[in-house]
Amino acid sequence: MNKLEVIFNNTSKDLIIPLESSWDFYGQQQGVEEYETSVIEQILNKDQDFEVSRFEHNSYYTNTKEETSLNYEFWLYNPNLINPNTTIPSLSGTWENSYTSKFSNNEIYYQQETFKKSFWKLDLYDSPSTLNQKNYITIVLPTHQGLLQQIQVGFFQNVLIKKPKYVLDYLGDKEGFFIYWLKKRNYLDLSTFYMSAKFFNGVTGQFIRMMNKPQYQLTNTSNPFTFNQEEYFYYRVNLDYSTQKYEVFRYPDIIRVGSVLEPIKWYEYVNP
Amino acid sequence: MMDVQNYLVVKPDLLNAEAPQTDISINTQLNETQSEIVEYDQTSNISLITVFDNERQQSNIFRPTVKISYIYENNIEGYCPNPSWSNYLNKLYYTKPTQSLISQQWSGVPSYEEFEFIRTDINNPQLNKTSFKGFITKSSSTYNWAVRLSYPFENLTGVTMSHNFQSNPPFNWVVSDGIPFIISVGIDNGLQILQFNCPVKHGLSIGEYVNLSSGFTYNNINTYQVYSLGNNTYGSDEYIFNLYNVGYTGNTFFSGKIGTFKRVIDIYNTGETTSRYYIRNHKIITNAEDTIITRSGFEENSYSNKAAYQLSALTPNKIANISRYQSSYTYNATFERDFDLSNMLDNNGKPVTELFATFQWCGYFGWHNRLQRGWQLNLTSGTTNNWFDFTNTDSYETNLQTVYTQVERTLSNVNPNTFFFNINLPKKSGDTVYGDFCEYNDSEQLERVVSSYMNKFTYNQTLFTTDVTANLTNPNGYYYQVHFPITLKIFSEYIETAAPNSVVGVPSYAFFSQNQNLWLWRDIYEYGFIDSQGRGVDYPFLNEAHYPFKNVVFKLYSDESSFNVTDFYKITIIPLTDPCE
Repeated sequence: MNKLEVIFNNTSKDLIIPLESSWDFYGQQQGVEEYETSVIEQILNKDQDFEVSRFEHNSYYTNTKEETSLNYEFWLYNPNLINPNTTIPSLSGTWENSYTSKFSNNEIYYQQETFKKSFWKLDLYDSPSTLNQKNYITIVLPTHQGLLQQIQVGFFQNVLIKKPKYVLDYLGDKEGFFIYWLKKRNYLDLSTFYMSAKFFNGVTGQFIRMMNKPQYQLTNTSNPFTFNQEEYFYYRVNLDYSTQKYEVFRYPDIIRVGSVLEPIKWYEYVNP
Repeated sequence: MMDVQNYLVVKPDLLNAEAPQTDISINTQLNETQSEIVEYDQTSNISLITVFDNERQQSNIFRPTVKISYIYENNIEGYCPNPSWSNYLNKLYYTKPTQSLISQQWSGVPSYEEFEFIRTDINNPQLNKTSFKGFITKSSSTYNWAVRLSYPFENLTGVTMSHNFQSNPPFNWVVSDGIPFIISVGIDNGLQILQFNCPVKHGLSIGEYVNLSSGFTYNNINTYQVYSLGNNTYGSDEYIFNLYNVGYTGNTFFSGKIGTFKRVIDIYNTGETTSRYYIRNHKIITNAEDTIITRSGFEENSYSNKAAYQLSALTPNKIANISRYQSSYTYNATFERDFDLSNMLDNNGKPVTELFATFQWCGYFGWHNRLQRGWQLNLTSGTTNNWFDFTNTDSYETNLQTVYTQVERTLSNVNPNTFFFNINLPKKSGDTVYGDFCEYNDSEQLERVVSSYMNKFTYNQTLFTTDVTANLTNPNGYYYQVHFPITLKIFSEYIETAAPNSVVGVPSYAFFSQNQNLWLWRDIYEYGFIDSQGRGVDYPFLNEAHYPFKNVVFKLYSDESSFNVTDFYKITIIPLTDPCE
């Protein structure tokens, strides 16, 4: 600050205040182009990487043998087969690892349309809460996959038909073994999914909801139709992006399932 | 900018008599004036094509896919010598079952599973629990073959090469000496010529020169001009070049003499126009877990699957079976990792423009000997070349090996027999492997493959003897080409030049020609650009990455092939016939 002395002589006075101003035009054009690029990206949306990777079921050991198979068991409710273990009158039937409670033996053996077009639908959500969950992945297990069981068809004894027990692996039954999901995490950063299961019944044209425990084993035996949905409708699936592998766990437990000795078990939910 | 106004400054004591003397301050206003950029600068036309192309050209990420159309003929027959390893003996397709029943020496060929990229015989007990923990399904695509990606990173000039010219003993030379030849003498259009027969394409044009190896110096000259090409047979012009015989005397040139040559484009500038010859050395950049091999849908090649029902009476274990001994499957190989090739240089110091799908036979099921290596010029149609004799250590592939054992007691033997099985362990990321025999010319800035790199695998004769009269040190086997290029970018057809003091636009890999006093280089075409010769790459670009695709027709060439192997090998030395005659 300069000291200014103003001498009064009844005339108008001007003060000249120097303000230094320097202009630098260098880089202006590049700046405009950069800004332009930025605006264009905002308008057009920047290119995103939507490439999917194949996530494989992580290996585990069964009696020191390394295995990779993913094992599912689906148990359908047969109200006509009395379960001696249940004390719940409204759930007196039995859950069977068989299609025979929903289809006739002929339908299964001859692969009729009603059976052939039925399938298991596994949905992977980002949350177990139905209030805010989003379904990101759906895996379909067709009925023509799976292991076999013996039945009688007409006069034919010991006929082999499909049953809802799946051993999925790199070889043999492969459909549903791999999870195809985004390769990179910059668009959606999800590594934990919650898997629910439904069965599309080609006879009725309706979906059957599946639970991770049979209803007669629920703690509230007096009313096995009222329970915490988050707890009984899901398994947890964890993706490991670094190894491109996934593992399945009981939910809310942390016990790994899907192995030969500990398959992923689904039980039909029976409406009251 | 300061707003210029009129100010009236009044001293405080003049305004009010009692007022104290104080500093006077004037608030000045700084008005900032902005002018909007002109209309032309405000408006930018967005072209999606341009935006897409900019992103495409800037990306250096590659996600290659290799389709493997697999062609082989399972035709090397053999038998399991006594004592026989039952897991081999019982899984053969028996080619002479009735004779074998009498002789009890069961001749046949192995199952198709022994050749496939994905094995499906999960119940095969070969990989016992002691050594392997059994058959692991996730490893089913790694037991027979390893598919890797590699790129050539250096040139090897000291590699010893060898070739058998007809009945001559093997001719050895160092790769940097050039291409081998054998001389024959003849007449072309009435003129005496010297005919140089090469086992590989010589790459010469009429009027160019050849710099011959020592022993071909005549009057202190060993560089000669090419007079003509070929011997009037179809395709021979690529393998035979002729020099005009001006009446050379002595033993410099005589029929049957063998040597090597280097190509020279300009005899007045031999330093820059003489070709260099070398072996490309590749570096592996992927591991087993990076490669995903799957069946290519239901696609099969045009050769049929082959299987036969074998009666129980005509098998050694008296069990009937359907023996499948040949398939026609097609496979896909994709890679879990993305490949960023920025700042990677190839064997000639240029940006990497090609990745290579590199194949290696592993043979975890133990049927085979150690892997061998050679080049196409080491293959001889209809016979096993001496190069692949086990006494030639230069033919050993450099991969590691391991051996496992199985013990089996047979009815006829009181003591159990121990069988030894060899595995060719796959190469992994960072390992190196030989590549093609190549020629490079600085003045052309061009690399040419002279002879492709091959591997050979043979049956372990103690487990599966392939022929009664087999040469144990050089048995028949299967050959395959190791490297298949996946083109990522293309160098231009033309050669670009620039003055010596130029900097802008001259790439780092440009070659400075002292003779021409110019920088020389070939441009790299942009993605999506195809020139008038049809050269260029235009594969999909999405997800910020390029998706190059390579269809590899992967052939196993058998020493006993019924199909013609001369599609990759040709040498025809026949007496020259003058067209006038």
